[in-house]
Amino acid sequence: MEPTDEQLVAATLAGDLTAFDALMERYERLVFSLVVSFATDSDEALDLTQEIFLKAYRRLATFDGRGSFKGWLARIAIHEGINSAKSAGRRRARHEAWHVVREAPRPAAQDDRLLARERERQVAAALRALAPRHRLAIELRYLKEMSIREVASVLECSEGVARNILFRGLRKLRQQLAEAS
Amino acid sequence: MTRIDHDALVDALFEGRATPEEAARLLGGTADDELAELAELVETLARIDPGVAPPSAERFRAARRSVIATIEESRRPRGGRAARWLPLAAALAAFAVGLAVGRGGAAPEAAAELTFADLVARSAGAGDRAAGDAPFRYSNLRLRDAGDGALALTVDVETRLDLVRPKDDLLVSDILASSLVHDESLGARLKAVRHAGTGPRVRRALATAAREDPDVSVRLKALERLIEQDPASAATQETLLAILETEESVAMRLAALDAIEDDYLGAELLESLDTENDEGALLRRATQRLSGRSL
Repeated sequence: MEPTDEQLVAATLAGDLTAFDALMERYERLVFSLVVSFATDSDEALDLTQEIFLKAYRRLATFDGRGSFKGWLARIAIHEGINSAKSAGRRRARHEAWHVVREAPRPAAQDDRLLARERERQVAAALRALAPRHRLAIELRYLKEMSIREVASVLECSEGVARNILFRGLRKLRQQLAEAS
Repeated sequence: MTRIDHDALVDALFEGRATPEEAARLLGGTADDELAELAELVETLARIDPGVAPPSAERFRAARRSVIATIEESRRPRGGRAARWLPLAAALAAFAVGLAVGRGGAAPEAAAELTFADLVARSAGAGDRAAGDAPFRYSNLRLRDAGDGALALTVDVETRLDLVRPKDDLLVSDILASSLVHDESLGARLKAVRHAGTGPRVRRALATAAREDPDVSVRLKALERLIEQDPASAATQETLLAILETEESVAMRLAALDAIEDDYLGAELLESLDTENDEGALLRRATQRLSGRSL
């Protein structure tokens, strides 16, 4: 049976670095995906991922287990990503490249596919213009597929407030799209 | 509708599983077309991707190895004579860092297995000092015979340290956070606010000082630092709400009102204001915030 995050954290604190390696392996893709938008390219995002894991290791004793480890780690990743982007004078430049679709669009006709892509481009642009807290909540929930509990953990608020922020964010997104069109 | 029903419905709505009837029940006055658009937005969002492929498994593995190597390097004891004779204060500070991060010797970068008692014992055995010239002051001694020629001692140990450390150092943060809440000197508390770094412990101390310090200038400075550092967190927002409810100083309440976020703003805020005693500016601003907020 796979050890839980909490068991791996405890083993790491007891000096077992293989446990920390397992934690990194479990969450490296998540951390990378969270910070890639703050970096200029994949290499820089990977460097940032390493720095975040080092920082998480140094702060591991402060993880009190009240929230999930995943949420705690994501919070560090986002803070570090923001700091990195600020210090480099770049602010989410990579989001300009949002255009790839995970699944093939359902409409068969090419025109429909183009329309779907255009719609995704518009939504991504409107998302970038949202207030940071709303944008972050939406990104974590729908792009990173985090649960409401995990979003709440990252935003450091209750699940009720996280739902409220998500709902407000979606409404603002809809408003912005309506205004843009 | 119970709270559980409500939360389940919100989740269903966000995941596109809610029936139109359920969603209409949840959203009240929300029109059907808005609901349909929100559902379509959620579907579109799920298809958006940052467009950067993650590194290969091999690259991730190499990155993990690099992190582990860095950690091992940082844990390796320094060799050489100089390292063996590090000043006692430095060792004590390292130990205190371990305490500051909450797990003492168990923290990854704390002072390994060294305990505070070890440090005190080491200092007692060092050199041939005159009585009363110890680097630590002992007081409040209790002792009993522990048998086998041993004594069990309970004693307060105190020393004074001269340290020069970075402003964002964990020990510095811990000392400032503690002074902010416990120091009797107003000047020391104000200095602690001014130099307070960042981090959860400092923010908790700032929140406590903003709510409870007997001096309004400390409360106000602490509140400003807290808002500057972490305006949107639930802890800060709840501190702001508490200040609005209990604080006597109108300046404090205005500062809190300006920093409170829409998500925490409710009609109950107006009710919490004392309409007879609150100054007009506060009531006006609260009313403006409530009437101008956008849903």
